Amino acid sequence: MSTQAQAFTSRLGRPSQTVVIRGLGIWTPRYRSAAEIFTTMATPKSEITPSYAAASNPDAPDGAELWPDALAAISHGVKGWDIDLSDCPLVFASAKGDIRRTLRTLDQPGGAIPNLADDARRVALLCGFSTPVICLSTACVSSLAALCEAQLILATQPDTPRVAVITADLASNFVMDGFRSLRATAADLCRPFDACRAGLAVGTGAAWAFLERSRAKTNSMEIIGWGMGNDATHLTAPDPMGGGLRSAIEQALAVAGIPAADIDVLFAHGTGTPFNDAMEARVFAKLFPHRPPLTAAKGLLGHSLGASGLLELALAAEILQHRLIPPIFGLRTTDYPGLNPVCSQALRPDRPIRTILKTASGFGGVNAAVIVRGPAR
Amino acid sequence: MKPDVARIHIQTVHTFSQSHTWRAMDEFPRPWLDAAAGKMADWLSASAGSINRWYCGLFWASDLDSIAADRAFELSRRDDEGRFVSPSAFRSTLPSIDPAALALQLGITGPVMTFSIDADPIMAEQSARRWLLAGRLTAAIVIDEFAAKLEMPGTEDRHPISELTRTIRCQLMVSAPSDSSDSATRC
Repeated sequence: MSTQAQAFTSRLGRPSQTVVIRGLGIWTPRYRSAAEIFTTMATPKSEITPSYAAASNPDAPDGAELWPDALAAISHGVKGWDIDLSDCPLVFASAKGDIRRTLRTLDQPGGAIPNLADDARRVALLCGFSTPVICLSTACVSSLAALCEAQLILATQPDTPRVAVITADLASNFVMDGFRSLRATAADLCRPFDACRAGLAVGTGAAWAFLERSRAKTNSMEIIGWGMGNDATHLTAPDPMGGGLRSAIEQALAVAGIPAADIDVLFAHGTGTPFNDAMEARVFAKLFPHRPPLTAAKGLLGHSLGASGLLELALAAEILQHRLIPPIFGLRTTDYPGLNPVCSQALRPDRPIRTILKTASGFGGVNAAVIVRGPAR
Repeated sequence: MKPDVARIHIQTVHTFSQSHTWRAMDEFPRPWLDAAAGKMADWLSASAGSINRWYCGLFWASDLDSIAADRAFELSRRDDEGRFVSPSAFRSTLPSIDPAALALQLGITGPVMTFSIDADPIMAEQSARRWLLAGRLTAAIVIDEFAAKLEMPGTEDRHPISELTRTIRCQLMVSAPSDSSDSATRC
């Protein structure tokens, strides 16, 4: 642990509360549950295809058309848990929100200037929230940043029993063209951590969850650590040394009060771009010399930008439940000897799976890390 | 946990307004924002020179997000030959890119949080307080960006040369050491 992280541990002390995740749900155009995705990922590769549109097809339907479906799924999912929303703040997280609606609203004569907060209010209204809505847009770490914010709300507002986090980002033509302009997209398959990776695939997804303070042992997944760090090196490219990500992970470990050796699984951001994967690989190899199994989901699901963090955390819950780590779809041969990526077949490690580290990184140099723990058995 | 709000000091508050045209908001690079960022950087560097940037976060709230960049990118997405013309324009369509640019200038390596706001101008400040109270931070730079929406053009024509006043308010919030006996300037 670095000197800074040690100082942080000393400053913060041990965690004073346990926060559990309830009502965790996801939506993608193809999959309606994390269990369904998990099962698919654990299936032999020849039987499945990725769920995103290839970037080489510029005439693919505009993913923004699926916003009504996403909103309906979010509303149904949140209401389905029958949780009292009257005293539950909502943190809505998205990198771009419903950008097509935003631009259309802007072009209507006399219309108000739209923004992401409008999307957040729309979601809150649909789901039945009457509480304050916080709208976060921190690029591709948005939903993990929202989890950090929710943790802090629970830590500083003792009268607030729970906080909702909702996230959504869709593969709109706007976003697809943007990543094409950056030449950051793979022509066909996204291959995280593969020696021949050629870029990301833009995906679509939404997720929702409730964070609750808990003093009793439960069967729910706990968030035991969280942290955020900024590279401050470049606006779009990650810090090659991974300074921000390393800082975020070290904070998360310090909050959790556990050594790096206690991490059982690394659930990477894994965009499949040369720079991101190289940066993550460097940080993971440095901080986790015990080489815990590494997995990632964007090879199958694509990159749903700000929503990807929470969506993939739902898969982490499946890993904890099934004690099985799905392989990285699209990965054939890695060029990172310091990593232990799960390739080809799902892995059931000898060591019990209790803790998973989920990370995310985004434009602007933002990074976030969340550590979750499953119930003891 | 009982938060100790009395230990947060707001050391400095600085507000300035800048007028520019709606059309200028669409231009890349956006000189008005660069100018504003430059002013803030100078001021913050002087104010926050002694602060450990690792324990410092940046909290940015805006009621416009990146709407001007969004529209400009949408209009320039493909040229006549179907090419995608402006990678830098796409980068600017993220609401978090302006705070990121400022964090880069200032060398801030703590959390950089970007909020989209409407009626709640203290959202960024509230978040900063939470990070100061229960996170690892000892300092937070809070920036609220407001545009007077009623002054925005657009009732008949979306492209007139008319003025928009944008107000940017900066705060430096500092968490006092636990043994400090200073009183807070505002809580």
